[in-house]
Amino acid sequence: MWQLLLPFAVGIPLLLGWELYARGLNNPFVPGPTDVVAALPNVLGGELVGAFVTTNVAMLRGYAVAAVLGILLGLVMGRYRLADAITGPYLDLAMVTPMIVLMPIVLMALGLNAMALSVVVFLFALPYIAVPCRAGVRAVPAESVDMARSFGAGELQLWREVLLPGSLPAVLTGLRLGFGMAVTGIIATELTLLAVGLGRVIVGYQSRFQTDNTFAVTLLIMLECIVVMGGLRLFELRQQYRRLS
Amino acid sequence: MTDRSGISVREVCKIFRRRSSGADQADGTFRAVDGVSLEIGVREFVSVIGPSGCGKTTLLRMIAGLTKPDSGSVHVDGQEVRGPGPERAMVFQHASLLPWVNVLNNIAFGLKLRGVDRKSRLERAQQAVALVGLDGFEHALPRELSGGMQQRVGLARALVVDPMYLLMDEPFGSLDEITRREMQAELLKIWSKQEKGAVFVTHSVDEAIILSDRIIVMSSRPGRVVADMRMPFTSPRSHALEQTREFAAVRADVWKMLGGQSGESAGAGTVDAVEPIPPSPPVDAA
Repeated sequence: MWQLLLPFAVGIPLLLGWELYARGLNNPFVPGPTDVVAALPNVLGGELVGAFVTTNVAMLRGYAVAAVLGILLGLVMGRYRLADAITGPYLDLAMVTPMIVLMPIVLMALGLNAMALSVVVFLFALPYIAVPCRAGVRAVPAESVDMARSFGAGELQLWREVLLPGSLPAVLTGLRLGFGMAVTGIIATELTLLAVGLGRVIVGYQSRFQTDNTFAVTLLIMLECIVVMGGLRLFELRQQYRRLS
Repeated sequence: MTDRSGISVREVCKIFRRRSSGADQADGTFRAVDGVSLEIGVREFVSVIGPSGCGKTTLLRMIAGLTKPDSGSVHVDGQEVRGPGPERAMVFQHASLLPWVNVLNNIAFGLKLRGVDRKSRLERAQQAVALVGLDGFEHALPRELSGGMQQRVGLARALVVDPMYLLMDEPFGSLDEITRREMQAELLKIWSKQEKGAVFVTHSVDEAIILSDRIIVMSSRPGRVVADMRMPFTSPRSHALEQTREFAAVRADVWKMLGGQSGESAGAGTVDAVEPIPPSPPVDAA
């Protein structure tokens, strides 16, 4: 249990260093950790809650579709060579293309609306969900598949008894990576192209040079990510625990 | 109760495409199994032995129904093999246990796939645990087990579905010598109480002799049967047999059959150098 505190061995010195640096600079545009925390009350208010909701709704819509399609695509590509031959190159291309380049194109094509935002999130997240799923299926040893077949397993049984449980850790990794990319996608779009939700809030503070408030909002976004990623990780650990029975 | 007539392998061939090397055909293929015919009796323990690449694992997979022959056919108890079936169960070289499932549930896996209800399959798995000497480890996970113990689980898993024929692909090949001999002794003990047929693929001459009623020697490139040797020993057996003169004589004979191919990589010429022995008719050991 005490091992959970280990990361603080790095975190606390970093925060201290940052605080000392900011105090030393004494520049109102460079906040230290204490300034950021002090700015939280300014930032927390009705406007922020609405912004969180707007942003999250748009993001989750894109992410949910990316999750379902990404998992399906990844698993199918992992098992069936024909599917991989057909769609593989596109997935690999999507992994290396900076999606930021596609953002303006998508918004121009679909209009400056919430749906376009969700599509951008979808494009950001999909490859990072599908690729680990594909890898996860492939990592299931061929001998385990042979073994199940030798005992009469049909394709559906193979999936249920061997391939899905075997690739579950990889699927959860993909979901975590995909979530990170989804957050990146929505914030990037809201900051640059369509100022709604949290993006608008951040841009608002930036334009008034209120860096402490900007950082405070960023901190809250990070907290949300930590909660979600932590939740996924906890789910994965619980799955491992359950299998022990 | 189906009529059991044994396993009948008829002129099976399996061709693989490979990067060409000296021994391969001009078209870049090689015959992993080339016109192999074999009869295995209902209660016979038959070992298949030969150098690496002689097709013995491919042959076993064709009997198991995991691989389709390119020509020829395999019949089990009169029915042509078109895939895996309940009358055959396989034991693999690397146990292939499901790592997220405990020993009891791994053993019960074959039963689960066949739709046996939870209570029954766990009861039967529990009996199999006792049979292979894993009492106390029912709830252990595979990663907590040694190699020998994992192989015991694999063996129990195959036995618990009560197949007519056990197909074993070098099941003790990944174990150290001491554990290997323990497992051989276990298998001999278990076998004396069973009425099954078995096809046992191995690299080890001594292992084949001590365990089997008959030994099939195969050549490699192309994979053909070179000898079919009946073991002159009675059952039940123990490792004490290895000290007898009879055993040494048989061992010398088997090595002679194998020796015609050692150190050579060229194909057909090597095989012809050994005189094939006509296969002995299978015997249903009473």
